[in-house]
Formats: sequence, C-alpha cells, structure tokens
Amino acid sequence: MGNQLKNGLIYQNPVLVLLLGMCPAIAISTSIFNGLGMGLCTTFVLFFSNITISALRKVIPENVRIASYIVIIATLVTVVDLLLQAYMPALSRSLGLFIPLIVVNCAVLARAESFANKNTVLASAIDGLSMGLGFTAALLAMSAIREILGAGMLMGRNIFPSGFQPVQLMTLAPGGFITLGCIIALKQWMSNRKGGKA
Amino acid sequence: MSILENRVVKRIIDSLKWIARSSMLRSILVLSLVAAICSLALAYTNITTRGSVREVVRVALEDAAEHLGNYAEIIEVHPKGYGGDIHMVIGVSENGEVTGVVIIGMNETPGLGSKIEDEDFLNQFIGKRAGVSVGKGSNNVDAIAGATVSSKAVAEGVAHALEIFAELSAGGGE
Repeated sequence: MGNQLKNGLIYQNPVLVLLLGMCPAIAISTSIFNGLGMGLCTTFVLFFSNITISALRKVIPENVRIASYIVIIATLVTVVDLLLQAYMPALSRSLGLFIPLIVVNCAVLARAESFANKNTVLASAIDGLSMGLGFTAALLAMSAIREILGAGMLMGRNIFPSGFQPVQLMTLAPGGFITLGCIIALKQWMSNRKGGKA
Repeated sequence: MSILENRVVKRIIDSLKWIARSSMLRSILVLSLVAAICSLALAYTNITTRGSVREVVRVALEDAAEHLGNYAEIIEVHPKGYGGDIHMVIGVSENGEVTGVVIIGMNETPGLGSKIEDEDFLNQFIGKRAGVSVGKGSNNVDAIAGATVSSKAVAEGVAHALEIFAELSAGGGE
C-alpha cells in the first residue's frame, strides 16, 4: 500500500512522469484555488471510477469495456459537476467547462484500463486515491508557482510589496508549459541523484 | 416445399447459435444495464441538487441587477453560442438603449469564447440600440478575435432583448 501511494505521488505521477491530463494541468493551474479544486474533483472521480470498474471487471465483456468505462466516468463527472454547481458556485464558475472535460482526462481512463480492470477493489481504490493525490500535488506545485509569479499573490492574497510587477506570461499557456518543464526537470534531477547514491 | 422450410429454420437456429456464441447479446445487455443504472444515478443527483442550483442562479440574477446600470427593464435571454445556450441578462433604459449586459452562465471554449464574459467586450454594448450586431459602425460592436461565433451569439441575444423590450413598451403604451 505504501508502494502504491509512492507510485501515484512520485514514481508514476500522472502529470510529472506519465504526462497524462496535460490539458487541465496547463489550463487550470493559474491559481491555487483552481488547482486544488480541479485536483480534488479529479481525485473524487478517479477514486470512484476505479472502485466501480474494478467491481464490475468480471461482468463487463471485453468488447464493450471502453464504452462502459466512459459511461461510468461520465456519470461520476456529471455528479461532481452538479454538486459543484449547487454547493460551490464560485469554484464551478472559475473551472467552467474544465469540470465536464474530466471525462476525457486520460489519467482517469488510463487507470481504469491499465489498473482497475486487472486488480481487486481495494487495490484499485488505493490506486485511484494515490493517482488523484499525485495529480493534485502536481497541480498545486504548478499553480503555486504560477500564482506567485504571474499574479504576485498566494492563496488570493498579495505577498509582494506594491512595486512588484507580475509576470503576465506565467498566467498564460506558455507559462504553464515552462513551469511544468521546470518541475519535471527538478523531479528528474532529484530522483537521479537519489539513484546515484543507492 | 418442406425442404425449403427446413433450410429456413436451420438458418435461423444457426444465426441464434452464432449470436449466443459471439456473446454479442451479453455485451448489449451489460452495456444497456450500465447505462440504465448510470442514468438513474444521474436522475437522482439532478433531483437532489436542483433546488440549490436554482437558488444559485437566482442569487446570480440578483447580483447581476447591480451591474446593469440605470435600467428601466431587465430582460433575460438564452441565445445559442458555440457550446450551447448562453444565459444572459440585459438592462434596457426607458428610451430603448442598453444599460448593461451580464453573462449568468455559459459553456463557451475556455480562453476563446469564454472571453465574452470580459468587461471590455460587454461594455461595448452600453448605449447601443435595436438592431445591434457584430461588425463596423456606430451601432455595432467588435467581435473577440478567435471567438466570432460566441461574440455574434451575445450580440444576437442583446438584439433579441431589445426586440422584446420594444414589444413590451408597444403593448404597455396602448
């Protein structure tokens, strides 16, 4: 279980290693509020889709499995969308179309296809949770950097003296790619160094 | 005759066997069941959240009224955008000029069509009269680059609201 958690968070981090779910990662990570919201919504969907698909892995025939997975994932995403609209309108408004787009987040389908349909419900639940938290952690790191540099704020509060000129590029898509590249490089450097010692 | 009949019956039995063996029926059955259960789950969620969603929209409409300037009438329209209906309200003054436009809900493409929510775009409509559209001219507004369909949809919504206002005031005057 510890290994599985490490896999999702570090060794097989969906964003930093598997490079899945790039679209929301680049588009949403402009503020910590958005990054955290998106990460937790995706974690919710991953957790329950992994459980459902794992529980049904012996019932769903091979040739209609992808269609069934998409129906299940789309249902969970719509549930999240409706709940956000009802109880967290501010988050729903700022994430907008990216919530329905979790359906096509390849990280969710990839875990269903490569893990949940071959493993037990418990293992799949842990996998969904760890992958979701890995996704959230990567989004948090990206959105913290982009919010600090791009808007001069942290958690919506100004952190620099009034003379600070925010770097607008960081709030745009290129800034997202640059941030992602730097974080991946840092992660690689750290794991290479660790590997060298061992 | 009976030989032919026998052949037909045999063909039918063979086809049934093939269907059973190919597990096609099972696939259809399972997929239908999955879809049916998911629909039920969605229906249940929809029913339980519907009240709160309505409340959120009502609050949004109340907030919008404060950003519509010195209006005589607020008109709600749902023009068709690039990603479904755009829910918007328009404030109209007594002499038929737009006093403000607020987008309540929309599903336009993020980064392109979603810019219809920007104040720079919406403020262009203030002071415009019936027949407003996208293009060049004193009664027209500039479209957002890369989001012509969404811009046109908003302009059509405003024009439609002004038509409704004209009908209302014509009806009220008589």
